[in-house]
Amino acid sequence: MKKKVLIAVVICAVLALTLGVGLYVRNTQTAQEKQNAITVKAAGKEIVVAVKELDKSAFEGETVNGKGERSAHSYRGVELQALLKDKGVDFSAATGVHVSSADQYTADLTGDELREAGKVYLAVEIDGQKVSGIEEGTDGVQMIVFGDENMRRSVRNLAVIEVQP
Amino acid sequence: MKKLTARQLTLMAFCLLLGLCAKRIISPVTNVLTDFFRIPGGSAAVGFSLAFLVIGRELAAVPGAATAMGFVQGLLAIALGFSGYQGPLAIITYTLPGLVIDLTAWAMRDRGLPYFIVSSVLACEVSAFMSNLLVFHLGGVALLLWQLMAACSGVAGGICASVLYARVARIVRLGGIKS
Repeated sequence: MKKKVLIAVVICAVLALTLGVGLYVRNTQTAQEKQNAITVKAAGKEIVVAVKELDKSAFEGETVNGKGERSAHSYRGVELQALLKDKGVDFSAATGVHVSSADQYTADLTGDELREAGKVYLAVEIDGQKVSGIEEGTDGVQMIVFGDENMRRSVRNLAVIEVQP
Repeated sequence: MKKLTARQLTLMAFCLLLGLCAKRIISPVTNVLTDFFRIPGGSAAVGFSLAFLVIGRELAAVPGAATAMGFVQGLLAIALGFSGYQGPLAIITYTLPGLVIDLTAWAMRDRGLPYFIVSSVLACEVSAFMSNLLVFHLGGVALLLWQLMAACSGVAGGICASVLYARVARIVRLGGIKS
């Protein structure tokens, strides 16, 4: 009997802790996310960019999924290096970029990938469909890395782009 | 090495296939939770998959059975395209939890509810940790939540495994499944 009570207490404690931590993570949603925007962090500065601002040009490309299947898509958005140039971020000596999404997914780019023309884009529209944000009814951003052998770095619900010196 | 009987192999094959399918069936349900908490899906569903490895280990009752089932699950996941972004590394994320189940079975004598829960929770923790290491790269509080979700999933999976094992073992002992 004592053993069963102990098991029940431990299970309840784990559940309560999970709920508490889960609600904490959920409530740490930044003001930028609520405003339909992403944050660019570089050289100690934080620049908030509205999703609407990213709809600059159309581009096309081929992506490969985890099963190795290729598919061609048309996008609207902006090339990452163009966005950084536009915001006055000097990335000529950047060693890499750390990207994270609103649901805590992360991916990394090397400095060379960032500087390679036609490699990394931020898409707000894919094949005529707006990219949806994490909150229902909001617009979102998806990172597209052309040339990858899977879509591991195609981060959805993009929230923060951190340029590493 | 003790030779495995056809019955043991059949039970192991059945359990590893059920485990592989269970995760995909339960994922849409658990994703409701992980979406709410804003962490990647997966860790909350893994317990139901690993529950079948624990059951399979107990039904086969041979050391190393869970590791072998995990390894075959990994191979199947790659062959069937279930491995996602893990690619060939899925072998590791599927095999290690099996190894943990075998080690727990070796360390714990009693086969009551605590054994099933502990075995399932430890296996889930290892599976979630390896997935994070290879794919998600979560850190800080998000990683803590990811691991806690895996623990909850392990508890649920352990309880299911205990109940299912009690029923299936009775059928097996009664001779409902013969080699």
